[in-house]
Amino acid sequence: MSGRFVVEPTEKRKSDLLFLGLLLLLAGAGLVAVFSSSYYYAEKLTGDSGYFFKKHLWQLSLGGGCAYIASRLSVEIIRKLTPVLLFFSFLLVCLTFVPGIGTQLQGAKRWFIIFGQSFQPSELVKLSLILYLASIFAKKEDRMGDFFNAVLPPLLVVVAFAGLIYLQNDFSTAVFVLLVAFIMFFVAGIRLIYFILAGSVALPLSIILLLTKEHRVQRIISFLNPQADPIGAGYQVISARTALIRGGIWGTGLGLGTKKMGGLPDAHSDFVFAVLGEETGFIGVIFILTVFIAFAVRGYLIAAGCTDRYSYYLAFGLTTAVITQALFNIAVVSGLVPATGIPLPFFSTGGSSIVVTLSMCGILLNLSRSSSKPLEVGG
Amino acid sequence: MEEKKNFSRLGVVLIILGIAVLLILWRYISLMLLTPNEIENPARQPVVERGPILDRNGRILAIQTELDSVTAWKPEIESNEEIAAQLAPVLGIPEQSILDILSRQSSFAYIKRKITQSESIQVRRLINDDKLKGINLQREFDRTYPEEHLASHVLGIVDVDNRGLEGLELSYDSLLRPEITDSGAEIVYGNQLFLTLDVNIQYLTETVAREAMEEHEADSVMILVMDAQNGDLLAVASVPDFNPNVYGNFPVAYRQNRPAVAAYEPGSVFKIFSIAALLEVGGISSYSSFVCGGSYENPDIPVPIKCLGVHGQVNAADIIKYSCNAGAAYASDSVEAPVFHDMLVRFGFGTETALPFPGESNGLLKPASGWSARSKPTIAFGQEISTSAVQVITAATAFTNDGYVLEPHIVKKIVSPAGDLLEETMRKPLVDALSPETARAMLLMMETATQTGGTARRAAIEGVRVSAKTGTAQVFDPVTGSYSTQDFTASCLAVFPTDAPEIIIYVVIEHPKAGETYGGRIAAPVVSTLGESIVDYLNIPRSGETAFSHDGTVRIHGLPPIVLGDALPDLTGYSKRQLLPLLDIDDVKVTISGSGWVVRQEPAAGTPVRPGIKLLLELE
Repeated sequence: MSGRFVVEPTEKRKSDLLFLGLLLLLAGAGLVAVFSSSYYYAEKLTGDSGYFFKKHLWQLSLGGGCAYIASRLSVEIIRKLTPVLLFFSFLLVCLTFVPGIGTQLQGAKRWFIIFGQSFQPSELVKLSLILYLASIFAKKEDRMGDFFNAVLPPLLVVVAFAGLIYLQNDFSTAVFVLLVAFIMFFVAGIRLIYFILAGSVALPLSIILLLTKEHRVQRIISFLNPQADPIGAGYQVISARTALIRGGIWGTGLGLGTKKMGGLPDAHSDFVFAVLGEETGFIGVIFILTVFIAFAVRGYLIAAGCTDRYSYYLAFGLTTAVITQALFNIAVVSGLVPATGIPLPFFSTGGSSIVVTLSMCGILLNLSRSSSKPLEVGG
Repeated sequence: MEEKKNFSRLGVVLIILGIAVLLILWRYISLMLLTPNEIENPARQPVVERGPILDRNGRILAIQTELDSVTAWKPEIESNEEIAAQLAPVLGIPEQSILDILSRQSSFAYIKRKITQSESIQVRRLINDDKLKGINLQREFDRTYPEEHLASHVLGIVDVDNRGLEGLELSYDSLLRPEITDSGAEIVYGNQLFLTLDVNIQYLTETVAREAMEEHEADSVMILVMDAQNGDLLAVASVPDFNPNVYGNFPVAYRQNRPAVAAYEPGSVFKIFSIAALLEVGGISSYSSFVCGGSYENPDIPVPIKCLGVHGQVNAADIIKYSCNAGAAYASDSVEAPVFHDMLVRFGFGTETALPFPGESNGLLKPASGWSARSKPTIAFGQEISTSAVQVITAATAFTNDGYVLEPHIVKKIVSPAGDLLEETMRKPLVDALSPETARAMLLMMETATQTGGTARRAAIEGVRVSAKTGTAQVFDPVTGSYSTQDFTASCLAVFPTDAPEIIIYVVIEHPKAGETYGGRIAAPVVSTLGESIVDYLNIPRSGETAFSHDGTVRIHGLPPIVLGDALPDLTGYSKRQLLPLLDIDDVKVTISGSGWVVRQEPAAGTPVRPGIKLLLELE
């Protein structure tokens, strides 16, 4: 507790109960969707139909714990911890390249095993980068026109992380990190000319990087014409599409979808929303989409209510990170954008994503408590 | 002020996110509410029926047949072991491999595709007995080649999904196998491909080719037969060949369409093109003469080029008749290399023909600038140049078409599934290579080669004037870097009848190993044998025979329909089928015994017809 900056103890303020309710709703719906989409595959794989459900539940509790801590810590502490966290993320990402520590899953080197849990450091990068950017933008608030002082350092950090994640063969997360950083740069008030310059470099570069791996080109082709290779690259896209069409308006009923029974690979991770669409129909899709939008609205309101720049940038960045992931994933499932490896927050199985998402929400809750009351920083 | 600006940027972000939400919403509405739920049912997927390939007379060479495939839908399977135990003996595959298939990840799997009719019946019985829960039979189209080996290289092969892999099946894949459109049709039919081949001539040609390969222990034999007047290939034979129905049983090399893809040195057959070229550009005339003292000598080349004999004084006709290498070489001295090269290009050497065979060879004709002093005289008798068999026979059309090289054809016409003619190939002159006089003169020179003393005398056909040229080429051995002493290419090109050419035959016997290697000894007799059959088949008139033609149809005068008047007609000679209408007449009781045609009737013809009359008919 660094009393120097705290005018009034934050503990006395009430948390944003509506926001908390939305979180619980999403987590609950996610739990149901995970069970329904995974029980068949889990039974086949391990003989225990609750395998993924239990794992997801355990990860939810872990994430919940993290969220609680994040919501109770003082914002100042979080800000002070940022450099440590950033360095730690950097270290972990680098560790995945060390043979024997990094684990290769499905052709991508982005995980390693810790206490029997697979951990994906690039998820942590999402959080630490947002913390870092919020902090540096708040600090250099009045010097945003100075390219070398305010723009270049964070840009280098972001590009370095994105580059490392790209080298892990995780193109979509790299793009996602760049996108969220880009939005934060934009909102922080960087001059538009820099965006045009950066765009003219980044766009051709990303196209080159995109086309240098066969599986990415396959994904693009399968996005443009899924029928070109219906049992290969286009398979997931077509399967997800059929699942949604089968769902219709009311859905086949919870647990009664058939696409997850082998027809749809990754039914419980990246394509869990397709199972949800098949089983709960358009009504269910609209419901979840509405909850996510409410989440975003509430998140941005928290941001708008923040009186200091750091909290404002942080709340904005965290909300943006969660909502863009959600929209991306939902768009992928419907075939609106090419298949990527972006998980659906709260729904997709995968420990690192859940823990990080919940931690982000914990910080948002934290900010919501302090937002309605002015918090004088730095005199 | 600063605060305000940032909120406006926040607004931009929110608007973009809002647009994204609306797009996603619209996508879900169109998918989940507006798309009819039909694509789930595989039976609704249109089936593509690949179009047939037929010969010029409509005889089927390749067609689709329906066969069953055994499929598994795993969620319905109760016991993998039981399924495997039931299916293994029926399908003739080990139980373990069925178990392997069933233990794979996906829910749907093919256990065996395109099983035989009898396998189908047994599997269907097991399914009906409810012993194979989760196992289904799915109809699939399969490509069948009813003539088996016939024209296998031309036709090519398809894969298990009926996509063309080789031959015309590959070249015309998109025409034979149309894209599935959302027209709602249950079956999409492909176009029909009519070839210029004549199944009968193709059969005769392949038979002769196979005999020649066995007799001369050759590595391979190619024989092409072309319609001299329009460039239609009537037969394209190449042995060894394969059966496209079971192409996996044959070595890959057997599937090579050698007449199109193999390039080889044509040898002395090529003299007809070089002499024609030299005559055409005026380097020599039919009166020019050269002295063959057993070799060609030239101060520019250190080693003289040997001739196979000492032919003395020879003119153009003698060079063709006796196949004199030195004479051809000396004749080539009369023109400059670029002029000679350009003439050979006009015949089409050095570039692939317009035939739609995949992987056709260009042959090898070096540009004149790359020729050595030895090149021109050597090319003049057909070495130091590579050609494909289709190039040679195509070039020969210049002799039979007043000097025009014709476009060669293998496809006669393309007909839509509804029977509309989409495309038809017509005679198409490509290049005016020779004057009509030169073309004519060459045929007459080639005719002397089939007469007494000529190298192609064994190519003669009884009563038909034949123009021919034989060749025996050395084969370049890439291992030693020089010409092989054992491997030869024996060939013979023949045009008949000389006065009104109808047919060009080109025989190439590669690497005969049974002793004889000369084109005049082993390839010319093949021309003769095949030519005799073709002359008979096509009714080409022979001298000393009265020309006789028949339209090929036999008219059968059928018996008039049976009419029962007042008296019984004579029913003798009527078939059982023709008697059927009698059974419909109520007041006549007809008894038929035996089968065949009526030989006796009771009562006899002329008996008045009364109601209830009993008619007894005996058939034999």
